[in-house]
Amino acid sequence: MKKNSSVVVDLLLLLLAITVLATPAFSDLVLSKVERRIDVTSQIARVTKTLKVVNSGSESVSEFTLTFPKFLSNNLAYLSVSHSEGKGKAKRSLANLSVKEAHPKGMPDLISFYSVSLPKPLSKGDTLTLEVVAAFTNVLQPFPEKITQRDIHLVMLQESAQYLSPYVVESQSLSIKLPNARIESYTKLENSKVQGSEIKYGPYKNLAQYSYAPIVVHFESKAAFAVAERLVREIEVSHWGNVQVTEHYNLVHRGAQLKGEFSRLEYQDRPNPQGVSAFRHLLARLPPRAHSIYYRDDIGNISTSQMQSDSKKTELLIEPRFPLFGGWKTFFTIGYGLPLSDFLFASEGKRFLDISFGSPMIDLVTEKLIVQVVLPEGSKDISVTTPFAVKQSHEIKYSHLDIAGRPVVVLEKNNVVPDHNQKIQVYYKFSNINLLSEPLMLITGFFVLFIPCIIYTRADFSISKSSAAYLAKLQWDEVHWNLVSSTNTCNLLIV
Amino acid sequence: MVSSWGGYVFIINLVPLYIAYNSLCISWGCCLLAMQIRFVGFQHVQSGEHMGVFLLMQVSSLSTHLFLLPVEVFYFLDWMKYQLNDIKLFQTFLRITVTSAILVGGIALGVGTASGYISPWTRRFYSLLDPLMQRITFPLLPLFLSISLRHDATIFIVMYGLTSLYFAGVMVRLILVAIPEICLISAIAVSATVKHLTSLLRAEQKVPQTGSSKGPGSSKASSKVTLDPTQPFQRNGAIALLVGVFYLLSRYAIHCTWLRQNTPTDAKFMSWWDYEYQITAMGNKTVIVDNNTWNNTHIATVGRPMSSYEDEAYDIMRSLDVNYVLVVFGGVTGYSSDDINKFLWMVRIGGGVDPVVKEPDNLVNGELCVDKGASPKMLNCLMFGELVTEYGSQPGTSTTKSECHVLYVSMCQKKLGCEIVGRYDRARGVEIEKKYIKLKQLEETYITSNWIVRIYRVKPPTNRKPHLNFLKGLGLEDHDQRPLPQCLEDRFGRRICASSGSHDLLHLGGVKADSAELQEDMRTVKKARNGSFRSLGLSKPSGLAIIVSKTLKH
Repeated sequence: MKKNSSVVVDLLLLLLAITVLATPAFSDLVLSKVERRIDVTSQIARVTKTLKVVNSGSESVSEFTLTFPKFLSNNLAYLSVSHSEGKGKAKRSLANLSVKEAHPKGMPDLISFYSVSLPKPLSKGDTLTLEVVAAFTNVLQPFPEKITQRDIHLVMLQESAQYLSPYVVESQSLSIKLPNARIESYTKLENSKVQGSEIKYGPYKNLAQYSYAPIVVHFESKAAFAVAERLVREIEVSHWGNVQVTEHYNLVHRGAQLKGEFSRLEYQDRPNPQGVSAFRHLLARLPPRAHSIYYRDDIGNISTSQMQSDSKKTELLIEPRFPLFGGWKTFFTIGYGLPLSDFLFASEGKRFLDISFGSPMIDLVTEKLIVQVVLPEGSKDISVTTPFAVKQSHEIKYSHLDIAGRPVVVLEKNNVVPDHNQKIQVYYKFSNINLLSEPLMLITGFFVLFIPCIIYTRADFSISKSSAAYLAKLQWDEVHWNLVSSTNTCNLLIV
Repeated sequence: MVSSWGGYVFIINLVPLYIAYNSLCISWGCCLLAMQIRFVGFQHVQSGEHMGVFLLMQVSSLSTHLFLLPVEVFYFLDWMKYQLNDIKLFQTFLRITVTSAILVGGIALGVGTASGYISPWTRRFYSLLDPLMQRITFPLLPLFLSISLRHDATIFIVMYGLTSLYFAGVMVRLILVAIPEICLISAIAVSATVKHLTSLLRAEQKVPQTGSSKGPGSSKASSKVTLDPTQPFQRNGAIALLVGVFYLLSRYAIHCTWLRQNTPTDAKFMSWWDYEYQITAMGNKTVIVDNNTWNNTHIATVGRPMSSYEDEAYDIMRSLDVNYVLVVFGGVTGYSSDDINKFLWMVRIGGGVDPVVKEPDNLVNGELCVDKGASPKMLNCLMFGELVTEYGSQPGTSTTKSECHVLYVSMCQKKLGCEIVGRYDRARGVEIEKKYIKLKQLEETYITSNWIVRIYRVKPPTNRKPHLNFLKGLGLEDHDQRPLPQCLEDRFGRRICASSGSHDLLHLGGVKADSAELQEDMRTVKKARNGSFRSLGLSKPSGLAIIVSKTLKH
């Protein structure tokens, strides 16, 4: 509740700030058409925008500015801008443009700015179409925040019906795609309508700079609000032909918290089961040819998982040990082996591992993702290429028969969404001779152990066979043996 | 150590038995191996317990080494066979030798016993041979399997199994001897079962493959092959059995994962001591007692709330700083070693230390039951309430159910909730008597999917204000709606702790003031307090009675 009210205050402040803002600090670009689509069918709000940019000024422009309200940009997990050229069927998307966070002077704190560098300066009168994809986490706030097992799960989305932009917008429209048609409430503005499970706002014409019209949509969501508070992915490369991936999940249900009792009877009630806010399954889409898959936790193997595989993908459906209600947590580990030839390639005298960065789980948000790429012992000149910024560090891991240890590349990133499931490349140099070092070490070890044994068993350490001491010992042994056997016979007779 | 412990008798008898079998089949390897068991002493040879399937061997062993004889005997027999060169002649020779040996053995034993050289057979020995003492059933399937496998090693298992199981049934201590055997034969049974099942699965998979490889021309022939109607059934049965075994095995530990992840790190768990090691080791939580608790009083502290009324139990749990209570209930799945079957011990241990808990209160005719004959104390105590909550009671749902849940055996709709006709306890094979239980100070937080483990959260104390008002005026109002306060001060400034059912304050909800039940309760309190108690008031509208004894705490 506190959070909601603070957001409302934020919105008011934002409006205030916007009215104060009147200086056209940015260039004379005009957005002739803006189409926004917000998809909230999962727990992630995925915003797709198509912006048609026209340069109405006299100078050519090489930078474009994107703006988000601060309360949204705080939860911004993924942002990519690409530009497309051509029209109609010939339209094709081109490479992603580089996006940087900007802090222009004299602007209020409640708006975040991102500057996009255009592929080529936009001269006077030219147009350009930009495709913006942004994914936000935690913007679907459960409301009410605590529900009982019988309640439905309602969430709230706050956005603006008008596109917040430092440029003049000539025409814009917004559509929000909801998971189902059950809408508790939504802000009714002019030109707003509901079509099934979709709410449409607009089109709105000729909006001034920094136009803002707050809307709140309150609707039912049956999506799994599965969030990995911490996910450690360990990718171990073995040049004997395997890439072993081990993923440790600390999972939590970030939806409305369960209050009151958990009733198994109602949960298992067949015709109308209660507890729809809980989720039972998670689907992981593993790479094709994944093998030796396991799913376990601290206690041991978890037997509730199913696997389907074909030549294109391997699907692993896992069921945690208990259904997860809001606020409930669980921990588990999945692991699988991948054929090395599918992921390791060579280029310019170097080898590189080309593997996906994020979790294979569908619609999972990861708050803290740690990817550890363990390279074989003796790897050198390690470098990493990632499509987005990550925190990098290096470690050494000691495993079986290691002397110098294996170099580990540790990549850390917060707030990871499925859009981050892009390939990363880890380049390194490794000579095949190193591969033989461990077997050779074993062979040497055994050799060193057995050679003294062989020598010892074959050598005779007695000083001389004919010495008086040796003969005396033989004699003594004989006497002793006779003595013992005669005593035994006596004993038996007595008994 | 072995000579002081009875197990040696068993082993020393089993080894010659086995050797004898092997030597009859002339398989010497095992024989020699079996003889590698170390010689301990003559004491056992002298005792009669070292009884004689092979008296011959034992009596003869007085004159020569104990274990060398059979080898010598059979080398000798071999040699004789070679010498005589005629099977009939050899058999006659064998017969004469064996008979005379047994005779000599018998005479020697008789003489030995009579002269007192061999100690007389003790009572324990006779009791071991008494089949009436037998208490357990034989695991017949694995034994049958090993008999059907029939090679030398399994014969040993069978002999070992039959004898050890028999003696273990008679004397509990000998289970120790039977344990390796039980491990062996159960492993044989499991592996044989899985082998049969998987071979069934494989057989089924191969049929359609051969059918498809024949191509479209011979589709008729191939369809004939797959038509065997029993095969899919067998296959499904096999799958169900295999999956079922592993599924059931994996279910039990689930609650530990849950409580490890979903309760506060400093949460304290109370349960009967049998499960506490799991809670500590797998669940990583603090417990009140554990499996290694030696102090009886300590265990009784947990036994008492488990066998008390909810209100009283709540106070004890609060004083123990318990946050969660874990109970095990096997009524749904038929898991018999649950807390209701252990309840007798909670009462017994609890009552052994704290005489407030009385065993006879919970028993009917010396037995513990949950059906119609259950004692009222039993039906109201915490433990029972927890176990049958929700399983016994079911909020109103529609009766027109085509697809019934396994729990709903049958039900009928009535105005106030739903009366369940067939609420059946599978572990004990009775119908649960008390059907509508709603705990007030505990709330269910987790139940495993097989309903075995149930975890309850101890609620924080309710607000005491309305109840203070209530006591001030002594105008007794409707109390069936909310629970009574735990500790409050009455108008005399005295602190009354624990409400209904406790020593100081007796609260009977929904009982008419002049009812026989109330009169009976008042008599009980009077007796318990040596006549010193005082009635503070009786409510008019709801017939609620409050009796406060004079021994209030100041």
